[in-house]
Parts: sequence; structure tokens; C-alpha cells
Amino acid sequence: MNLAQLLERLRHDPSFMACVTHWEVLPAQPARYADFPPGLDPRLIEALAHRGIRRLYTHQAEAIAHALAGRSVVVVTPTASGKTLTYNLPVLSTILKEPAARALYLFPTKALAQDQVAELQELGRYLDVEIKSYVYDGDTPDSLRPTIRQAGQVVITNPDMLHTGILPHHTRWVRLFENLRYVVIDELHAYRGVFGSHLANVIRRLRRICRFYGSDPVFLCASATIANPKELAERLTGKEVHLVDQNGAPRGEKHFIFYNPPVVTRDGLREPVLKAARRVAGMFLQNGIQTIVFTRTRLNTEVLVTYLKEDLARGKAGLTEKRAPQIRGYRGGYLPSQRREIERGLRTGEVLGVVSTNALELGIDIGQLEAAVLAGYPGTIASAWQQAGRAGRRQGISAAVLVASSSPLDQFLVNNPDYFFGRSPEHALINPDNLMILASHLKCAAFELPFEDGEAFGLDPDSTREILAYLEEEKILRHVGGRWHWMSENFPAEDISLRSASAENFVIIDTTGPQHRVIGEMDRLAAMTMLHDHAIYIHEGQQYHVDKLDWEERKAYVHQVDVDYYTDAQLAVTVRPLDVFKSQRELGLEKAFGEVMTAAKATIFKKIKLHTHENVGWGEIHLPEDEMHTAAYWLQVPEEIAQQFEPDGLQSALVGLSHLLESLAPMYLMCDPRDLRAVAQIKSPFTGRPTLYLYDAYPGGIGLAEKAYDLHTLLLTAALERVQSCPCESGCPSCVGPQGTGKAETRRLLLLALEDGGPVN
Amino acid sequence: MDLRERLRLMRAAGPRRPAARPEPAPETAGAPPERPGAAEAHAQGGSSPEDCRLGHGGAAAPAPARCPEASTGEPRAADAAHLPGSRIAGRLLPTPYGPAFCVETWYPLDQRRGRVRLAEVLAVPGQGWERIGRHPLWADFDPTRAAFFDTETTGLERGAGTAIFLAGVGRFVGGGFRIRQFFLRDYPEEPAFLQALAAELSEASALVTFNGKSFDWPVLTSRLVLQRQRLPEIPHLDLLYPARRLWREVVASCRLVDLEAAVLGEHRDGDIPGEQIPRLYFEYLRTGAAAPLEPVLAHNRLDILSLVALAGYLGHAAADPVAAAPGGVPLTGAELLAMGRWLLELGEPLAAARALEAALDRGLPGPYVAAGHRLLAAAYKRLAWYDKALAHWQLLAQEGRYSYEACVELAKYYEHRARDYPRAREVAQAALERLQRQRLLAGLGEAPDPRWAREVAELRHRLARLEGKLARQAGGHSPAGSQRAERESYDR
Repeated sequence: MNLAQLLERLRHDPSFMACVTHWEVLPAQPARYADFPPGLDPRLIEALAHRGIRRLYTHQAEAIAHALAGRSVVVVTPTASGKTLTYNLPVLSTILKEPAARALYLFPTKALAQDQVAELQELGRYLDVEIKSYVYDGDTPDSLRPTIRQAGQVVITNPDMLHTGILPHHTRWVRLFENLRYVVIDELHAYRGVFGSHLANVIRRLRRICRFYGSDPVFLCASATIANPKELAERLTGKEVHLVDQNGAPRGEKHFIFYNPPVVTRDGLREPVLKAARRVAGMFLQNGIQTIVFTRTRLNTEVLVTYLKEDLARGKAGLTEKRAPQIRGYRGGYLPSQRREIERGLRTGEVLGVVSTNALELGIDIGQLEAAVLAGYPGTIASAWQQAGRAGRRQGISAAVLVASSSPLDQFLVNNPDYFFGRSPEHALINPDNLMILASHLKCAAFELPFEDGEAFGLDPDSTREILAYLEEEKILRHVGGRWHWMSENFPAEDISLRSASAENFVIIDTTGPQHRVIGEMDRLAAMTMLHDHAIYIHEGQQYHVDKLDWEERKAYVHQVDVDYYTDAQLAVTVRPLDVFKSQRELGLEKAFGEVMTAAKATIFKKIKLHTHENVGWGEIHLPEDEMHTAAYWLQVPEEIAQQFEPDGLQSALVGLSHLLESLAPMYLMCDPRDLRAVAQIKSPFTGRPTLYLYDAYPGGIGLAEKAYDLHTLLLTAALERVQSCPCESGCPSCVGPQGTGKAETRRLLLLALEDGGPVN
Repeated sequence: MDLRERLRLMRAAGPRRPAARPEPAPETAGAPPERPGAAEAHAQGGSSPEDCRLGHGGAAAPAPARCPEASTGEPRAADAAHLPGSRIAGRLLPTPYGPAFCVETWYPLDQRRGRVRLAEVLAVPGQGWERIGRHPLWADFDPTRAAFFDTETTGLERGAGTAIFLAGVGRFVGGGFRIRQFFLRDYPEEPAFLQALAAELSEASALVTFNGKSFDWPVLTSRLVLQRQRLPEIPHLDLLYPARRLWREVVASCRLVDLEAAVLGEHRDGDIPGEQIPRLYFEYLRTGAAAPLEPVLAHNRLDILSLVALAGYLGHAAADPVAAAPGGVPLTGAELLAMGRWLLELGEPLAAARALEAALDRGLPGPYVAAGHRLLAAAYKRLAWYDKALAHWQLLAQEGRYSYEACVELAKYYEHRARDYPRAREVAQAALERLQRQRLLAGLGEAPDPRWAREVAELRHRLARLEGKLARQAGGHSPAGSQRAERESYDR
């Protein structure tokens, strides 16, 4: 059966359709072409003709015209719409005319940078001049670096390398900075939250250095679909950016199916996502349809590869065992050569099926497959579209199936397809002015070039001056002669990581064998509850006993065990508001946004028997308290609502609502679920009322809580919808949380919260 | 809450640790106690107490009468300047960007650093410089036109925020040795400081540094870029590389202070550790008191004097290793061995052979004896002095880590030179055995080294060829054909 036939059969298969909550058909779209914009070098047009490109798609022509006119641009079109040409053509055209001109490309990962060099070389083959393009990252050999600094016309790197390896050494990159015409930022949507907030500051530093050398580069950005590409690009680059989002590339017919695994237990639990994904992907593969499966974790990738190989080896419908080797896994941790081999196999068709983490979501060239199966919602609409976009040919039909897990987020989504297919409400949020982040980069900037009196960095000149004065008190800067000079032997960029919220990760060391080895790392807060002494830590399916957590050295020593229990630690978090920035009554509740100090302390842990969930023991945890100064949004339950509940009932309603908000808010805020935390207090010492806090899990906050404050009613509506549509009796992990109770109270609280309660006193 | 308050709160938050990381202790106490009798003027024509200690006769060390600067006398002139709270006295040099502070110190030519006199560098023949600089142009190097250059910086890592605050330039001028130390009194003076430094350096036809190619020069270039100033490239002799060649095997670390002790026989007392220097400078900037910087300036001068002495030592050693006697002491066997290896690499087998003969003659530390024979044999072979090489190969072939290699050399020799095929076969077989024994000793569990397999294959091939030759010899074939074959398969 080919894909069309298979889809037709599925449509008439009642057991399959019983699980389908939505079947969207996106019609085929013909290509829309435009002429080459004036100003594009004729040699380049000729080279393109050799590659079979005689016209451009409308969005390409529009973006290139902006770029050649010196206007920054962000292109938002689906996967495989020829986005790379929108920046490669203006860059190459400029370099052909002016060989001294330079361009800097930023990609979020090293693998993507390597791909790009290949792409540029491919174009360069048809030009009779050599375009000197190089990757400059941690893997670049020392012997090559001086050449790249002097002669590289296109320098391809990542934000981390720009931050520690290029900007602090700008005096060795004079050629680049004097002649920098374009900065390319691909995968723009990857730069959100903490990472994006850091990158925005790295770009502030970049532009400051460019000003010193007399250049003012144009920014060429490309992004997956998000709600606010123009805003994100402008906040990241600090420049006016033109949006190009009318896709001119052709598209074949595409089917997008939402699949909710069947309820398999009497208490409403659904079939596990992996099992369902195995069934769905197996269907495609058994029919010889090239398929990519995305899983949420590396472990699941391996498990699913094993399952699918098994299924195909068994052979069905005349298929032979030969198919099993055509199923491959793909994830971080594979060797680069192995990854290249799999990518090549996908392009040539030798690989029939690949199971991947989101590693293949970004623009690595694997050609276009016929089917994509998403084993669990990847967390954001943008990611889901990127993953689904891996299946989709310019001609012919393709299919993507989202298999929902039991998490509230997945369940909300499959039951509310309009949310997904309607206008994307997802905002990629960054807060370049987060004080911690900004001050860190201001330090780096001061190392790179002394600040002048009256100079502004992100903030207004007065606030900039205030931070500079603070750094002078810290004996890092010296203010003399109207300038702020670096006065420390430290190299500040090395102490600042762009990616992790907390630079202080704990490493997990397995001491089972004679050779101790590091098996993973974990942030501080998670370490408190998962790596405390005597915890059972589970890593890739293997149990480990934590022998010692060395808090000072940031190390956890573990050894492999095989026991019939797991541990569950309790984290007591208190939140103390320091300053209220805004507050108002909205419908039934009072909402507020402000600065808070949180204190987290791991108290005790319970040993819980596997399968029966009996409590078989407990222990105390002796770890220091962890404080954080951050931003929070909080809800207060007014007296007239609180009095309608028993105290216990209100408590479970608050806990249920915490769980719902913690899991649903990341969808609207486009953040990692770990970036946001919720705490409920039945009587807050600060407000004196039952209060629920939702706070940014990063010192100083990155704008999530503030956005949540704005989206208050929307969030509560989504929570109510989730509770009401959940098929469970009294509560389950898909709605009010793992304790499995309090569904009715939570629902009642939400209904009251969304009622117009009128003015309060 | 104002920004600073919020920053403080955020910084203060975080994990509560019983023992927080210690704050960097204030380093005011880092300055060494003043030495008694350190009250003499430290200025032009005189020398600081540290410098006197270096001198052969104490405080005398007068500047040679011929140098004009010396005769300008004490810095009582209009341009005289003093760093506050210290005995550091200097002059203000006018530049287009304002004045730059400069301290000048003179040394006589027979000033010693350890046992080496400064003047020894002046007598190095051109060949020494050519070898050290690895380019024929260095043969014309004239130390009297060179700048011996060393800097002290605000950080030990490179990067745009690392500044030079003290740059010493030593030159042979008017019959003496003059060190000009340019000192950055505060950041706003940097354009003038760099201008004055650049002017001083551009008078020189070459730079001599220790690790300057990867540190001092790039940092200077970086500071000039930041001030939008330029300094043309100056030919640069970085002594770190030749020093490593000569002493890597025998000196634990090739840092300048370690070489001073091990090679020049000079030990510094109360010298300031390099990593403390940035903090002392920052402390001076904050307090304005320059006294703690006195040892920093002294440290910088000592570095430059050592640089000169080391250049003399290395120059003589490179020019004529056998005859060289820097500071009156001939080179050790180990130094001669290193010179021999270096000369071989430079493609000078004759000079190498002479150095290695002398090395074996003067005696080598136990582990290096075999290396001496091996290198000497290699030099002889390069010279086609096979008779001489033979003795060393035979010695090495008996035992030790080079015996396999020596057997192979002997096999080549007997096969192609002596045409003694039975002997050739004998040693080739011995080589094979030794190789296999080495392999056993190297550890059985290891993955086979591809080189080892290749060597075994080569030996087997050689043995087969030798069997063929032996058979042909026994059969009395005419040598004409076999000679051609031999030429084809000829190996070095």
C-alpha cells in the first residue's frame, strides 16, 4: 500500500478512527515565483541556473531584496521552503562584488554549522571564485584559526563561541569587524527563554564592537513558525526587522492526525505513548513508507528502535527480515560520523525509518520523508510543526501523526485542535534586560571595550551607569577619565554559560566499576530531590543508589543497584514577595506580579515500593536551603470564594490548580517546563489569603511570570477546559496531578475564578 | 528597590553553604617587606638594591660616561617625576597624547646574571643567530640594535581586557645596557604610554623576548588596536622555543625563572610571583601608593637581564657548541646532545656529529648515553661516514631500547653497502626477534599498533629479498640484473 491508500484505509478503520480526535488535511499549494531582485550579482544567477534554480520563490525574492537594500529581515516559512538561500544569496552577492566584505553565521548547534559549510561550498562550486567559508568553533584546529580570523569571508559559529572565543578577542578579528556586513541567525526560535536572553546581550556586545570598528551589520534571520517572529528578532538584534512570512514554495497535500491512545484501564488510564507510537509507526514502516519518529527522551529513542526492529524482523504482509537494519536511532551521544551516515541513508532512501530525539528537528538536511510520528507533544507548537515538517514533499502527499501522552499538556492539545491549527498564540519570550543576565554581559562588554560616560547598554544611560558603579564597588571596574576600565585579572566570559540557567550543575559519578565514570548532570534544585544521600536515582532504566552528595564539590557518587523501591523526596518551597509591581482583580481572583524571594529545602524522602506504591520507609535529607530572587505571578483567593470550601478541599484545589498551571502555562509561554514552577500556600504570610505562586526558575526572572500575569484568564480557561474534558473520575496525572484527587474541588475553584465576581472591597 | 540593591540580592541568594568560597583576600599584604638598606636612590645612573645585588661589586655600577642620558643626572630636571609613596623615580616623556612615565636603569656591560655577563651576547657569531632564528636573515642580527622586551599585564590570559601596565625595553646603548621601563600610571594615560613604548621599540631592528610571540606581542598589538595605533612588525626572536630545544630534557620547566636557576645559576630572593602582579597593580590604582610596585619593576628588570644572558648563552651554544663556554663553563654533555639533535634537524650533520662526539666525550647522564650513540650514528650516516656509524650501531644493537632500530640500520648497511648478505640476514633476523620482544613487553592486551605490523612486514620482505640474493649468489648469477633490482628496492 502506498501512503494515499493507507490513509484511505485508516479513514475507514473504526478502531483507528476511535482514537483520532482530529484529522486535518492541508491542501496542496502550487509554487509562487518571482524574478531575481535587481542588484543580485549576475554570476550568482548563472551559478544558480547550473543547480537548476531559474526563479526564486516569492518569499525568497522579498527577503533578498530587503537584505540587499540593507534592511534586516526575518523569514518565517516552513521546513524545506528554501530558507537558506534567503541569506546565502545576499551574502554571496555582496562578497562577489566586494571581496573584503564579511559575514558571520550563527547556528545553535555545531552539526548545523557543518551542514552550512557544505551548502556554501556546493553553491561556490558553480562560481569561478572561491568563497572562503569556515566553521569556527571549539573543534577548529589551532593551526587553521589565524587564517579564519584574517581571511574568512563567511565565518560560521555558534553563540557560545561568539561569546567566549570571538568577542573577548575582537582585536584579533579586526578584518571581520571592520567589514562585517551581515549577521545571519538561523533557527531564531531556538533562542528563547534564558538562552535567548543571553544571546540578545551577546548581540548587544557584538554591535558595540562593530560600532568601534565602524561597521553596522544587517541581520538576516530565519525562524520556524512562532507568534512573534518580528518581535523576537527585534529584541534579539536591537534593530528594526522586516517580516517575510508569505511562503511561495510549493507544498504537497499534507495530513495531520491527532491520535489519543485508547483508555485501557477502568480508572481512565490510557495506553502508554510509546506503545501507541510503535503501533502507528509500524503501520507506515510495514508498508515501506519512509518514516521519522520523534520521542521526548534519549531513552525512549532506544526503546522504540528496539521495538520497531523487532516488529519489522518478524515480517508481515510479505515483507522480509531485511527491513530491520533499515531502522536507525538518532540522538545526541552518537558519533558525528555515525550521524552523517544515517543522514545520508535517509536522503538516499537506504534508511527506511529513524527514531530521533529533537536532534533531527533542527534544519539538518535529511531530505523529505513521507511520514512523521510524534510520540508525545514536543512542548511547543513551533517544535511540533518543525517535527511534522520532516514529512512533507513538494509533490505528493505526506502524513504526520501526533500521538498524545497522558500529560495534561498533550491531553489538552489533542482535545483542542483549534488551539494548534488556529493562529499560533505561542510567543517566544526573552528578557534581555534580566538584571542578572544583563549585568553578566555588561561585565564582558566592559572587558572588551571600556564604557564611556553616558554610554548605554540595553538599559538607559543612568541605569547602565548604576550597574557600572556597582561593578566598580565590586572592584571589577575603574572609573577614571570619563571611562570605565576593566580592572580584574579574570576573563569574565568564561564564567558565564549561555545555555543553563544555573552554571552550577551537579555531575553524577557512577562508582560501580573500577573506572569511575560520569553518567549525567543535573541542576541544583533537581539535585536536592533526586540526588540526596540514599536516593534511588534512575538513569536510562538503570537504578543507582546515591552514596554521597558532595554539595560543595557539586558531585553525586552513585553505584548500580537492583531494588524494588524508588524514592520520592519532598521539597518545601516558600515564596516571600519583596515588591509588587502590578496587581488587579480579574474576574473572581486577585492577580499580582512582582519580585519574590524563594527558598527551597528538601526535607524528607519516602521509599516507595514499585508497583504497589506502599510506603516502606523514609529518611531525612540534610541539605542547605536554596534561595532565589526572581519574578512571580500570583493568584489570591478572596474570602468570599475561600469560605465556600472546606480547608482540606481548598488545599487540594490549590494543589490541583498548581499542577495544571505548571503543565499548561509552558505551552502559552513557549518555555521549557522546568523554567516555571508553582507553589500553593493555604495561608500566605504575605497576602494572608490562600495564594498560588507561579515563578520563573531563573534568578531575576526571564519574563515568563509577567506574561502569565497578562494571560491570566486564558490560562485559567485552559485549565478548566482540561479538567472538564478529562475522562477520569476523581483526578489523574493528566489533569490535577499524581495524587489523583481533588478534581471536583479544582473544577469548582476554576469555575468561581472565571465568574465575574464584581468589585471587591 | 534600585538596580544595585537588586543585583546585590540576586548575588547574595543561592545555596547557603556552610563555607562559602573565600572572597579574594585583599592583597595589600602581598608586597614583600622592605629590605634593609633599600634607601638608596633608584634612578638613572644608579641601581636599585636588587640590581646592586646583581652587580659584581655592590652599589658602584656607574653608568658609562659616554651615554648622554646618564650624564643628564638625577631626575631633578623639569621632566622628572616620582610615583607617589615610593622610591620609583623616572621621567615624563612627551608624546602627542600627553606625557608617558618612564624609568631608566643602566647596567655596565660586565654585569652578570648568574655566571653569564651581559656582554657575552655581543660576541655571538652570526651563525648562532641563524640557527636560533632558523632563517639565513638572522645571520645579520645585531644585538646592539635589538630590543630585549618584556611586559607585565593586568591579566595572565589574553583578551581585549588584558592591558600592559609595565613594559621594559633593554638596549645596548653607548657602551652600557639601558632598561627603559614604561609604566602606565593610570588608564587614561594609555595612548601616551603605548605611543612612547612603540617609539622605543620601533628604533630597534629586532625584538628579543621569552614567550613574546604568543603573549607580549599579541597583547601589545591588541592594546594598539584598541587605541587605533599601529606598530610595524619587527623581526622577533622568541627564546622560549630554542630554550625548550636545549633544556626540555633536563630542566623540569622551561619558565624563565627556572632556567635562570638551572642554567645561569642565579636564584632570586624575595621575587614576586607572577600571578600576584596584577593585583598589586590594581591595589596601586585604588590607593595611589606605588611602594608595593617596587618589586614588580625590579622583577621586570631581572627578567630582561636574564633574557640578555640567556640570549648570549643560547647564541654561543648554537654557534659553536663544542667551543662555547658561556659564563666560562663549557656546555654539559646533555646540552651538547640537545644541540646535536637540533643541528641534525637543521640539516647540519657535520656540526651535529661534532657536538654529539663531544657530548659522549664529556659524559651523558645514564639514560641519555644510548640516545647519544643513536644520534651520532644518524649524523654519520647522513654524512655517509658508514665506517664510523657502524661502531655505534653495533654498540646499540647489543641491548637497550634502540637495539631493534640499530639492527635494522645494520641490516641495511650489510645489504646495500657491505653486500655481506649472510650478516645482513643475521641482523635482520635479530631485528625481527627484538621487535617481537618489544611487542611482548609493550603489553599484550593493547590494540596492535599498525606501525608494528608494517615494520614486521618490512622486515619479512627484507629477509625474503636477502634469501633471494643469497640464492643467486650461491647460484653464481651475474650481478648485473640483481644490481638493478637492488637499485629499485633501495632503501635509505
